[in-house]
Amino acid sequence: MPQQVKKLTGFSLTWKLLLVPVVAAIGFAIYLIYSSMVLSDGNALLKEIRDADFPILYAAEKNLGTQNNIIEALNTAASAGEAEFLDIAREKAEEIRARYEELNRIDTTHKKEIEKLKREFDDYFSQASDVARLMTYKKEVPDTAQLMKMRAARDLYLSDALQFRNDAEKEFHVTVSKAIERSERAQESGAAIGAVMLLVIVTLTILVTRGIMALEKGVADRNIMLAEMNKELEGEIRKLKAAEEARSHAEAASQIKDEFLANMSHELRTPMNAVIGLSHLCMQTEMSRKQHDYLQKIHRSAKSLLGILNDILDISKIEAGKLEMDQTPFDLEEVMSNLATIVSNKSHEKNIEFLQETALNVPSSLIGDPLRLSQVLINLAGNAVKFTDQGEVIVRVEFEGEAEGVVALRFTIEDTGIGMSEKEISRLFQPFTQADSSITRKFGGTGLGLTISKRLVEMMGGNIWVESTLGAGSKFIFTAHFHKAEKQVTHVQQLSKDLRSLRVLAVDDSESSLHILKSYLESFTFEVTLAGSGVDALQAVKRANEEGKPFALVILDWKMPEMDGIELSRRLREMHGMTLQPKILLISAYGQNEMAQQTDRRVVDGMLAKPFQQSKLFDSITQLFRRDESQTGRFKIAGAQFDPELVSRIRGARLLLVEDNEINQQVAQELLESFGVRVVIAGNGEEAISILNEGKFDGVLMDMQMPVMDGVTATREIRKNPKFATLPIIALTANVMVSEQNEFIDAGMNDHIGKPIDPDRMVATLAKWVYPARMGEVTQPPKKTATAASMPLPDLPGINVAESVRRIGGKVAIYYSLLGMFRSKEHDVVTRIREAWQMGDSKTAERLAHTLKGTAGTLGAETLQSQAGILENCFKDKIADDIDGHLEQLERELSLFNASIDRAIEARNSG
Amino acid sequence: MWALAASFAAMNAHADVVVIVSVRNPITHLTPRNVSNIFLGKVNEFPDGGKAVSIDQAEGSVIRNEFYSRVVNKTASQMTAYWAKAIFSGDSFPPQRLENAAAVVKFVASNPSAIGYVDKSDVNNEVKVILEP
Repeated sequence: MPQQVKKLTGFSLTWKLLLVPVVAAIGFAIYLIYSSMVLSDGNALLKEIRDADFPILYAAEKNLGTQNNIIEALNTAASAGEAEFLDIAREKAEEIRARYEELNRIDTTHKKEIEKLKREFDDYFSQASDVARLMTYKKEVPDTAQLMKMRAARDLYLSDALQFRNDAEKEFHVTVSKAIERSERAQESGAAIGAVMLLVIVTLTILVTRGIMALEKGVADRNIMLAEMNKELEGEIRKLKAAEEARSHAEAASQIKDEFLANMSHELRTPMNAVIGLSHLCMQTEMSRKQHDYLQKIHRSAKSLLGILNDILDISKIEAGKLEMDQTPFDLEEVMSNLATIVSNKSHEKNIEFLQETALNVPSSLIGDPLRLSQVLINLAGNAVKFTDQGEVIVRVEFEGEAEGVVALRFTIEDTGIGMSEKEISRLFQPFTQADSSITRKFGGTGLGLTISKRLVEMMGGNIWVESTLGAGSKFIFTAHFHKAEKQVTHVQQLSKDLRSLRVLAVDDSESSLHILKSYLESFTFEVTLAGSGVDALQAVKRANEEGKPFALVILDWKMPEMDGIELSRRLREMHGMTLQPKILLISAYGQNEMAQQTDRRVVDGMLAKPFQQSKLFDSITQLFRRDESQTGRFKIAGAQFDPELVSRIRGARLLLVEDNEINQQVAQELLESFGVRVVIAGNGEEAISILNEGKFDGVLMDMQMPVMDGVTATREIRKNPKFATLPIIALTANVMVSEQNEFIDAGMNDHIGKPIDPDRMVATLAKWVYPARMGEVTQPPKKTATAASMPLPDLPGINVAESVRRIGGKVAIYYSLLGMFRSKEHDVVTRIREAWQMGDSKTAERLAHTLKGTAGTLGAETLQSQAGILENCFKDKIADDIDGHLEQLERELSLFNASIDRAIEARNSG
Repeated sequence: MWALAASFAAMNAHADVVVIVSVRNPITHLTPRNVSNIFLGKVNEFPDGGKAVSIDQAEGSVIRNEFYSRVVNKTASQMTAYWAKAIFSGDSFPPQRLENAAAVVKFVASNPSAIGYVDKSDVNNEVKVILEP
């Protein structure tokens, strides 16, 4: 453990260290100031003493001396009788007087004494000089009395003068000793302050030294601690490095394993295809029941084995990090529609309801990987159907949130199946496990589906979890993130005014279904009434009629207990006294065409396959109410209005169209020629190259999937010739995934046009790339770029004829000829696909499905188009699971379409 | 005794100075030194302790000069200088001065403390000679 380092408390170290010099400096300054003050005081005193030099003492001393002189002078005068000495004595006396005068002036404190002294001196001197004069001049000794008097004056004066002198001397001594005392005191106090300063500085120094020592100890402790930590960290790093090494070893091993697995799965698939295909073929031959039973078991086992292999391949791809999420624009509605098509087959077989509800605020145009989303949805919905024996399976899509153009969607797959216990749920997403091993035995499956789904969901930025109660159904919920496309396609168009606030009755025995219907219908501004059974519905209609608010539309479910949809429709039609005959829309889990076969057109006005999307419901309803128009008069399609400026730019160009499919050849050719473009056709890439070398072209329209040589290969070959370096090559493709687009561009293509061809887009793209060089050559412009359809549109149930005709420039005749061509070319396409598939040639199968998708799209056969698309994806992604089912469904759809075409052509010929 | 006195007088042709005290004074004899000390003011008492008051004679008189030269061993001017000095700087006083011998004898006779000098011939029985230089 790293030891704790004791933090130094209190002031910061800097302040503490600063304190020493600061205090020392202040102290020293005080000391200097004080000592200089003391010194100057002492000096002043000394100066005072020096300057004073005690005039009193001096004068007193001097006077005493002069006094002696006077006596001597008087002595001499008296003894020798010399009068000059009297004068001398007088002079000396004057000296003394002068001194006293002077003293009196300078020393005011002793005025009295001085005056007295002076008086006494005068007294003495006058007597003494009398005596002296007497003795000098008269040679007489004065009598004793006179002498005694003189002596007394003399002694008084002398004693006082002496006293004065002594006092002065004493004063002098006192002053000096006072000065000395003061000086000594100053010295003492200076020393005391100095000592205190010294003490303070020493104390501070000790404190700071202690602080520094503590700091050094702290630093040393910290260093030790750091060293320890360093050691620990190094240990950690070594451990991490070891772990990293171990991990990279493991990763490398796992990488090798995954690659091996991927290869193995791939290698296993080829023989599996042979087993499945051949056992299927074998079952067509004549054999004993036992043999047939064996073969069927082989076939089924092989199929399930293939399914397992596919799952393993997926898992390996994911684990090896080879699975990449596409980022391509897609339509969520399409995904949901595909899901409906695929899953409703099974749910129908098991006689359970399969419903979809997409919340209205969910954006439909997204960017992401639609195939992977489909895979997860198909897996989860497929499981739900698998584990549900009665009731319903509902797929809900809800909007979770949006941030910076990324939307989070929540998908809920709810069933009323067997459910799961907590324990089972906890094991659910582990690879190779299912809720219960007995379940595997009962229901089959690898248990990889959920693991794959989980990984895919995570790759889509989401989560997956389960809410379930044993015996009461399960809810699989997952979230996923998608970018929102800049332009949102609104599937639900504006309602025509007369349809607003339409009164609608929805009839279904399933509450969920009614709930979905209600929410969709209300979003169309309709007034919705719900009925849970046929009896209720009849009553509701009756009541509404009586109240004068009759229903304009009744939407009813086919499969209902007691009274089914068909029966209810009949009863509704037979009702008397109706002020308004409601339109009837029948909803069923069966395919539309299947329903059409079984129901009388006179009983119901329209049909809608379940599950449906909001837009499908909308379309169906608007179609119901539009039919009136198409029946009363021939409604005309306004020919597409092309931008004349753009059309003029491509007019006269010569293009090479490379396309193997004859229908598509015709569509493109007709369209291009209507713009005044001359078209030469090549059937495949090889042909295209040879034709290009023969003549001059302004551009190439290249299909992608063709026999002999595909579009990408052909483009690469063409680009090899420097002559064609700048030749515009435009891809014609139904594949609009980002990765594939990149492939086109890599191959040297300039642009691409999606199939089915949108004329506007075609014109715009061509105008951009193909600018005819030959200026002088102007071809005859077509009389009209927009033509009005003068003949009735063929009546093809479930086919979007109007849109399709618009795409080919509004030429109904061409549409008819395309129908005929489709009839003759594609009638056996499913058989061809199946053969190719069973022979293990998935490439061809994929191409055929792709072509079918394109032509069906061109003709407006949307169901057929989407079916073919699903198959194409199955082949492409090697999802072998449901191919047979899809093929059957496609076959059904195709035969219905073919029959419709026959009828339409017949009607036209006769009409 | 006469003979002695006569011979003495014969020997001193000018004057015969003697030092006298009162007969009541117990002193019988003094040395010249004792006498000069008293006359120079150096002592104020006799050797036996009795008070001594010296009596001088007029300045310039023969007897005075005789006395100071024989007993004190000083001339008259020396004595003047001595007393001038003593008067101004000292504490002693010069001896009291009387006009003549008779006054001196009278004063001494009447005052037992007094001491004076006279000519020998002026001595009477009221005074006694304590020194004959």
